[in-house]
Amino acid sequence: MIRKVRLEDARGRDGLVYLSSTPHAAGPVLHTPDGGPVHFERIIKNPMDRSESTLRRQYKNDDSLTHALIEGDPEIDMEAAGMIAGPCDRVWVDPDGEPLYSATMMEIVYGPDGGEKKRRALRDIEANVGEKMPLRWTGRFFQREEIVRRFAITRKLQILHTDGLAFDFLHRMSGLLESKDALVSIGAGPKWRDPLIFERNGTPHRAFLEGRTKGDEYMLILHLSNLELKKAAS
Amino acid sequence: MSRKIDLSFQGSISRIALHRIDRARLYGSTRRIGLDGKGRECTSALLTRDGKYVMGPGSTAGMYLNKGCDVIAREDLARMDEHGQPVISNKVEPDGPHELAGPVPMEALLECAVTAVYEVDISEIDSTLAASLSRGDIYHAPNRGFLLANEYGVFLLATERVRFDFIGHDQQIVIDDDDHEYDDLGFKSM
Repeated sequence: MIRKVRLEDARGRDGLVYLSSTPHAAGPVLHTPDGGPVHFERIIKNPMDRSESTLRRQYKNDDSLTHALIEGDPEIDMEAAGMIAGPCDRVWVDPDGEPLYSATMMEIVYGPDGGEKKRRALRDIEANVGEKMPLRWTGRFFQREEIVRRFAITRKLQILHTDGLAFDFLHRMSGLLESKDALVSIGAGPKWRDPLIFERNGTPHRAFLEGRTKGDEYMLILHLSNLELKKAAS
Repeated sequence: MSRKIDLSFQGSISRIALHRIDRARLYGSTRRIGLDGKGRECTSALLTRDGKYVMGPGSTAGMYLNKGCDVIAREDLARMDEHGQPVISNKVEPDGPHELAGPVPMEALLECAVTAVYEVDISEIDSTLAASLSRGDIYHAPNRGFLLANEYGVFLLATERVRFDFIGHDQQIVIDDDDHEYDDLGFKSM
């Protein structure tokens, strides 16, 4: 993965750079025991019109349902069971088992204890990282010690130059951070303080920029954290 | 329910319970629901493309099939690398306790990405190890992660190593349109 973003330096001068993650090694390929190919499929077990809740609605009481289960197989759709589902669309189904043409979307907010706090209308949170939304230095520096002990760094991205001018820009930035022997907090949004959101409704991440140089080479790493090292309340 | 592991430090073994910490436990979480016209909560389901079958939670099963469309049980699947050689998992749990190495420099942890965070009850830790942790030392348990303490307590961080290279002026940046990596960042927002 690689993406172009705009990054500002300590003086507020911005440049277009690449954000890149480390390439993942190809995972193992699955085969049959004798080395033949396999493919993954979604198999239908039972459609909803044969589910327990549907059957309970169809039959007046437990006795009639029990009788039907003994007499026949109302819980099994002989045509569908074991069939490959193929590509499917996600739909909402009402409590009567009927698919909806449209649903009103809501969001339930749960507290750390798992209890429901409130319900609210769904709102989209837009991404704030991109070519037209610069990432900025917040001016707050963190020692490595503090980063390691306060935050779980769950993801890292490397910042790369897009052209020769950006190379000089990033090399200087790396040198400055190296001389400070600290990581700078990077913010997004109009006030430069917001955590980074890489895609719509994505998890906000706090970001810390680390820079190193080796002769004419540089390394700029954006450390991302979405979790503090704290004990849970319960 | 927490899992217990044994950590070995200077000949002493500490049996510790691991309690996983995630965003939901620290900050809470959100869940999206759909309501019908009567305000009733609806269920998310799958509809086959021919419109014939609606499948709710638990109505389908993921299976591996061979060329003849026979099901191959997961435990019977062979894992092979790109050269067709069998892959043997290196994540096998050791029979005995996990030997702690260190203290290790904090840079060792900073070179890794955290994949899971567990809180550890300090009372379950050997007193020598607890004292060392409270002085700020960080220890590494191979195949397990890093053990460290802060003002909130003791934590075990499961990690995977992330390696980056220095970049020179002539470095060719390879643009790959595959953007799936960002999918990993798309957790539910707060």
